[in-house]
Amino acid sequence: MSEDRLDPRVRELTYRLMEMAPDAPPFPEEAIAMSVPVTKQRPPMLVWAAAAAAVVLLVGLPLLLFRGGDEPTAPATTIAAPDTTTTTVVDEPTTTMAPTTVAPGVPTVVEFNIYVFSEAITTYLGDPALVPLQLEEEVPSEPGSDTAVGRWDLALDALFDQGPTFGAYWSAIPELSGEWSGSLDGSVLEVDLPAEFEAGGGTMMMTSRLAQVVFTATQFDGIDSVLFKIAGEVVEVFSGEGIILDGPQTRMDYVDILPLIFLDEPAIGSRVSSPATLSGIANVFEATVQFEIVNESGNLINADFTTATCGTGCWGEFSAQAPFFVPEETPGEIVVYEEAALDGSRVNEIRYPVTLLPGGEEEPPTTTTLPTTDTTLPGEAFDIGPTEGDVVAVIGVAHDDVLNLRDGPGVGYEPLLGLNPLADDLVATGRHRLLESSIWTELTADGVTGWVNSSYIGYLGGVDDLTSFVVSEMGGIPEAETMLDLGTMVAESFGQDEGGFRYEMVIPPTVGDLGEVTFDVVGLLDDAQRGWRLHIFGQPTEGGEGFSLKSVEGMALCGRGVTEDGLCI
Amino acid sequence: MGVMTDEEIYRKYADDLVRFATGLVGPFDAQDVVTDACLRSFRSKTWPQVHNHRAYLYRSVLNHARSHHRSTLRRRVREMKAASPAKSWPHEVDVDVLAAVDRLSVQQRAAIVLTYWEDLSAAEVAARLRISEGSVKRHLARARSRLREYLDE
Repeated sequence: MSEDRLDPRVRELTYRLMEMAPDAPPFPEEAIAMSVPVTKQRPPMLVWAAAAAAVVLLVGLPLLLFRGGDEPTAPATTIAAPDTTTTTVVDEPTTTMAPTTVAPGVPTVVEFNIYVFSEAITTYLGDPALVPLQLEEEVPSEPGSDTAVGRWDLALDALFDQGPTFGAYWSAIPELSGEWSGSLDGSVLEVDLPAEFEAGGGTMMMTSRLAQVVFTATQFDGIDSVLFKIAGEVVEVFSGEGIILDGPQTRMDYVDILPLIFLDEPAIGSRVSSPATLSGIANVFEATVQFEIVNESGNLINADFTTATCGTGCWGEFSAQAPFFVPEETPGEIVVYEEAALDGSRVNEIRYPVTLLPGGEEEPPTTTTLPTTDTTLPGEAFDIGPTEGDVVAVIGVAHDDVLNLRDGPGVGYEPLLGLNPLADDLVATGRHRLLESSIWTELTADGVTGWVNSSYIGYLGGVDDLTSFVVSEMGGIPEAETMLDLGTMVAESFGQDEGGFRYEMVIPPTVGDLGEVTFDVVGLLDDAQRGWRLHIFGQPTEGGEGFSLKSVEGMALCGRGVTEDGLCI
Repeated sequence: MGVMTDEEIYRKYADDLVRFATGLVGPFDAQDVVTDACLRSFRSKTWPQVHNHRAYLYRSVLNHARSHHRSTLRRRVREMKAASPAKSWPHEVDVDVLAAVDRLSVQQRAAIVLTYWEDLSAAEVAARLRISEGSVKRHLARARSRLREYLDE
């Protein structure tokens, strides 16, 4: 370690990197509504109460009037001085929060989507595709009106106000200095826009603009189409690009800018509770849409498929319910994809980051179904394996597969969780069962306890340079047309005479200046070292038609444990 | 111990977090990642029970950087290519350094920044990121070998 710390070139590189750091952004405004002392509980339904409390601090009124539910309110003496904490909340609508009136005028949080473009998700032509992005806004509730639904005005306002780029998303809509207005005529929303809406050029850009408005408006029940007006006149030919608008526009007029699987619900950034409703439209082979819910550690907590109402060349609607369990609120991803007709590989995959919420219908599966005493478990108790509290990793599972964590020892038990092939934070309980032809180990992952086949777990050990070993085994520096082939050749060279040997690609190839691919080779050597995780680097050959081996780093995959120095015990 | 508001906590750690994020995702997106990570933390139900705010926020930034890394790699590469020092960017963009760091996984970047910039020991890095000390050493070893590889080219 001390020797490493002296590596001056790496240190200099780090310093140069740090010099590029921008200034810290200001405290995010969205958090101001939440800016109360951190010891205070904030039940999610009482967001407005927290906002009110922050404002009360500013004006110096007693906090006790705003107690949210049963949670104890922080004693007044522990509240930080207002001058440092609340100077930025002056824009809050203080007048709507007079302590004597709670029901009318209290802000409600309204959720809606705006439809924007993502670089990461593309249409079948490879252009950026339209995706739903969830926003929320606090609005004062008005007596007699249902503020939580149908606020197309808020959604379109937010869409028009959104800058051209934000995070990984962008909007085709130009900045509008003039006013817009909208009115609902039956199921047609008439949107009257200032002339700037037509400014600029490019057919793609102009079509994208219209699509964003159509999708944002028609997310609401009761609105099926949008009639565009510019400065009071119904638009028949839009912009200098001459896009002909044949009356009110519907979503189906703009399917070309959607990904082939368009997931409309849940939107990106939304908070999802179990069971999740997944719905949208798709144009996929045999109308089959595969979906997954993945938690923060990359583990699969639901995988299933659903069928669209039309497929193989036509757009159909799909909708599915997906139960899942997370022990606490956590970031996650909703993934939808299609299995290619040709080879079953994953195509047209899209991933939406969301927040997964605990609770819902799905109980923690282990508390109800896991056999609790050893006598009810199949097989016999076995005391060789990771001891209680040991942290182990998944080994020898292909990158597009998962290791099932089951609710009992044996393949007959239901999977509770699909473990990511690179999961390295599984905690052993110390219980093992010996079955006829396999050993099963009990583990906890993401708050769920279950059983896995112990041949797929191990301890991650130290890293060695195996390049010269591989080169001498193979009798020279290997070359191959692709990194996949090169990796396979290297992996195979480890198991020439071994009976239980197998290998799996755990990270698919990436190609930059160098190519890189990762394979697990297992079932060789002995009980202490069960295999290697091989990080294989290739460099393009001179002719540029393939890769030659540059280096192989092997991380030891250990069966019984690892010493301080990374050696298998 | 006095009670700190979210804003005070933010002010205390924001500069360090932005530097950490710069190490993970580069200077262009560091602010976004920090803002997202902090917002998400402040809204989390577990936040009121968190004792070590700094470690929690660092992990949150790391998690956001990981998902960010996956989804925007393509865009970042384009930005990097397009970046010219003449642009309005306040600090000079060191394209060589970004290219070197681009070879590392997000975890490896985290290990490098905490070790070489914040001068933490492997055990301290492990505690900050809540991973094992062995993982920290592995990340460091791989990161260093890749950086040296780049420097030697």
